[in-house]
Amino acid sequence: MKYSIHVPSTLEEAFTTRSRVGGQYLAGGTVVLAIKKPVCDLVSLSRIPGLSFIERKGDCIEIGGGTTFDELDRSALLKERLTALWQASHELAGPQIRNVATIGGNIGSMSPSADSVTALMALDASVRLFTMEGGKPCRRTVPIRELRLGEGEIIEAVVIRTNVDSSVFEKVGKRNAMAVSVVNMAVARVGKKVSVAVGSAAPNVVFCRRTSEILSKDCTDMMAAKAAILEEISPKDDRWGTVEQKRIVCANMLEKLAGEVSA
Amino acid sequence: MKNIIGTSVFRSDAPDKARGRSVFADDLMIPGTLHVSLARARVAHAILKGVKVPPIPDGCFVFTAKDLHSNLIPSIMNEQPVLASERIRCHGEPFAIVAAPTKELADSIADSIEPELEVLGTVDSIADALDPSKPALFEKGNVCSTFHSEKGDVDRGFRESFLTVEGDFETPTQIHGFLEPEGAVTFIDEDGKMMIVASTQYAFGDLREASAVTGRPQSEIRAMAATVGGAFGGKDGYYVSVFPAVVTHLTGKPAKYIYSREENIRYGMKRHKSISHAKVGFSKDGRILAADCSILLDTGAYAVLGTSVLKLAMEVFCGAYDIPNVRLDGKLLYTNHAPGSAMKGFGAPQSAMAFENLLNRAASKLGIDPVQIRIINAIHKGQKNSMGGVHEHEIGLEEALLKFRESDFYREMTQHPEKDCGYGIAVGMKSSGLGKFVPDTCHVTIRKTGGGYIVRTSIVDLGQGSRTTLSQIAAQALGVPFEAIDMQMGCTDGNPDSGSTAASRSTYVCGNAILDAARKIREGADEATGSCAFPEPKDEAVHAFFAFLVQGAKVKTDPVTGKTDVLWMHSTTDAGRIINPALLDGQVFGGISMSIGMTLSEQIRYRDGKALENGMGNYIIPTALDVPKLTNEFVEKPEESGPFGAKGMAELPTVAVAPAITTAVCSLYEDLEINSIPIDRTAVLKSRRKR
Ligand SMILES: Cc1cc2nc3c(=O)[nH]c(=O)nc-3n(C[C@H](O)[C@H](O)[C@H](O)COP(=O)(O)OP(=O)(O)OC[C@H]3O[C@@H](n4cnc5c(N)ncnc54)[C@H](O)[C@@H]3O)c2cc1C
Repeated sequence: MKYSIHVPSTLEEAFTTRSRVGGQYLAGGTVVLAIKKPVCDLVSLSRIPGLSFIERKGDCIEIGGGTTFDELDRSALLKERLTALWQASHELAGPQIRNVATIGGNIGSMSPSADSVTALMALDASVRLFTMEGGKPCRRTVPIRELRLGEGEIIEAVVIRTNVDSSVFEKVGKRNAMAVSVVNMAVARVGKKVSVAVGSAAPNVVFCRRTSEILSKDCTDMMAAKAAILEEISPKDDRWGTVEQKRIVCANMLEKLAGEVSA
Repeated sequence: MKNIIGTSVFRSDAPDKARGRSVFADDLMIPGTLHVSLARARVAHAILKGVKVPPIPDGCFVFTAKDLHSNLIPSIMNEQPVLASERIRCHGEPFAIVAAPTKELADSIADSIEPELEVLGTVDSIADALDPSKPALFEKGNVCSTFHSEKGDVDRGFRESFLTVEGDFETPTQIHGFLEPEGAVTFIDEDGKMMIVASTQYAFGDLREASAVTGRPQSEIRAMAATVGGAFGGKDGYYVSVFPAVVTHLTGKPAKYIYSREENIRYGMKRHKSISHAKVGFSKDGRILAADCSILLDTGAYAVLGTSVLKLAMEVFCGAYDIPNVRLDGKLLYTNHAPGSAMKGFGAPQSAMAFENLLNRAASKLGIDPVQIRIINAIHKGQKNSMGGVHEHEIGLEEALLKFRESDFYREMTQHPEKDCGYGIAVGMKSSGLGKFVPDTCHVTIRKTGGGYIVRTSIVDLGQGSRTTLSQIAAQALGVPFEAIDMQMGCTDGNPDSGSTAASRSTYVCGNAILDAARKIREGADEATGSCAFPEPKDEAVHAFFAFLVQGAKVKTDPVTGKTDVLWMHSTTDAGRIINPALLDGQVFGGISMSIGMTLSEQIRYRDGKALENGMGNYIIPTALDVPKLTNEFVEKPEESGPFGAKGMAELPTVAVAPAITTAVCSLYEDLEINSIPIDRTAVLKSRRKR
């Protein structure tokens, strides 16, 4: 297969190149280059300076869209403050993939099993998007729970508040590494407020609003919380697991992780 | 002279492999090469009425069945065409060979060739194959071959039994998962002969197949194995070099054909899916009085080596034990799936899944230790096998069991099991040699040179390390250092025919042939041919001798996800005298990993004859994080007829893994019986855990 790879050096250039030639952005390429459908024009984001960073800014941590999971995995700050995201990064794929795969690409892949997205949803992260309007750069920041990427928008950074008291992530795949999640889940707690997100159990990663509300009221009301999460997911039988299996695992994981964040 | 038998000398192929210098088939770049692609069926079962070839660019070629001298892959059943011409019997079956200056062009031409089809119903499972209302793949029906044997009075054995256990078991279609897919390069060499350089277990097999199909005399063809990146049975009996060979024969141009990973996973040879049933009767003190064992194997569209796989599965089903009354029944069945053929273990893992699980269940019901029940029943030299033939060769099963009982593993399992961990053991048995009625001889030559000796054999180092072990045997026999031996392997030209590198036979049969030649050299010859014929069993038996092992699995299951983690596998192996302990460990650990895959995650699932799995992202082999702590020890009971007392053991370690793991998992639950692999996590999740 033959590709044309465009290598812009600024976000503006990247945006205008993509609007001109069509095609797709290319970050680590672990999704774009792994699918069989030929995409002829790729607009690389890897040479744009300033897309790869992990920084503390006030009561937030900002992560550049081009940051690799290896970098996230090695961040002591993340491990300490945003454990769920660190765990998701730590367990994503294997070392070779983590060396190139980016958090922007994970979000941009729109996959129901994108591990970091589940963690980011539970952590109530926001995404800063770069776009151009009337030839002028402009940026908007949206909660990841409501994210709809517009045509050509670039994920510049992910912004996460550090007021989280506790957060955990767990995934189960068919093997212990290089595995698509059969189910993944993240639970975060800020004060009494509990947030739950699940991946691989619906067409998209879902933030479980009802479940989160129930646990925020009473973090020991497992009966109601489990009933709620089973309403909020809509798994299908797929090659990774059956509906029955995914439902049992979701309920079990919820009990385990909710217990862990409240401890 | 220091004894180098029994030492872990450094692998002679390691430096080149570590430095990326080894040359695999795909590394060969010959200017002007035509790249080969196959037009493959997109349905699993159809009558093929014709093939419409669109106009093709200059310099490209399309060949169909009518261009072949003979459209038959030489095999046991002789029923597989090189190219489908009348009937499509499996998804992906080739019906035209395309050759073009680039792979992309060859692929796109292959895509554009349309078969005219009348689609037939799909025989999509073992049950379908047995269903008379389903279409038949061949005129004779969907039963390819059968096996039946009866010894003693089975019904009486059961009547006299104190306890009878019984069950139905299932194992999946598995792929070999070698790193390097199937492939070959062919060209006309400076002598005008066609050269085949292939990823193969048996260059003479490539040569004969190419000769039969193209009509080119065998003397006009040379074949050699390139460096091979794993084979495990999947590169024997059916040689994909035939496709580029046809192109080179008909065009005179070099040709290259390397399977894509998708072709390898979907259309390559497979381990047979099995459904088995077994019933075993015991006396109160644990003696097995009767066994009634049957197995059904899915051989897909063609038998390839399947008929032999069925015989072996039956022969070893309960073969590790001395049982007076045994009934064996097997069927090899045609379906519209990719052909099942040889894969490390060759039918034995399928039958062990059934018998060893039942044996463990009986032991627990009888209150007998699982090692003890096997000691009580273990087969010995001089005793009769399942079919009534007498074992004439060395058997170290009892010794292996006794040694296993002294192991740290056994001590932990019985005396201080770790909390929340399950333990299980199983015994495996695997023959060595091609078996009765299959000519099984090996010839080698040794020639003296200035500084040492050249040993020539057509045996191939597939990664198992035979270059190293055979050099050790030669060095020891000739009384020279290891470095003085130059092994020339895997080539038909100038090399004697040593038979295929298969059936766990190389160390034994080639080792003996080397000893024979070395003896002649020591008696004064400068050059000598040595030979060995594999011993055939005299009476009712398929194979003459066997290696055995005992394996223990320690597992943990996750109550949240139902996932099983294997934490430790310990093996005690009986393979006669050990030539190279590190390489033996390598075989044991590799075989275990392969079967952990089959037990936990690997399977090909067919939907309307099409494999759901098509890449390494969805065909789930174990990673380094899925392979447990592995320990191995061995009992050295020398086989008198073997080179320095060695027996073949390459395939053995795949055999007992599944039942050891499933038993270990079940031991954690009140009400869980695992009869089918890969293990169903939902079943685990729904079971009641022991407190
Ligand atoms: C073997 C293997 C194992 C894997 N295992 C896992 C796993 O365990 N968990 C998991 O979640 N995923 C896994 N993946 C999927 C993949 O690696 C991740 O989703 C990864 O984060 C994608 O990042 P990338 O940089 O490679 O994206 P790319 O492939 O470069 O891009 C992916 C998509 O995002 C878009 N994109 C990339 N960057 C941006 C940006 N800054 N702004 C807007 N759009 C953008 C691209 O246009 C494209 O549509 C695996 C993939 C492979 C090949």
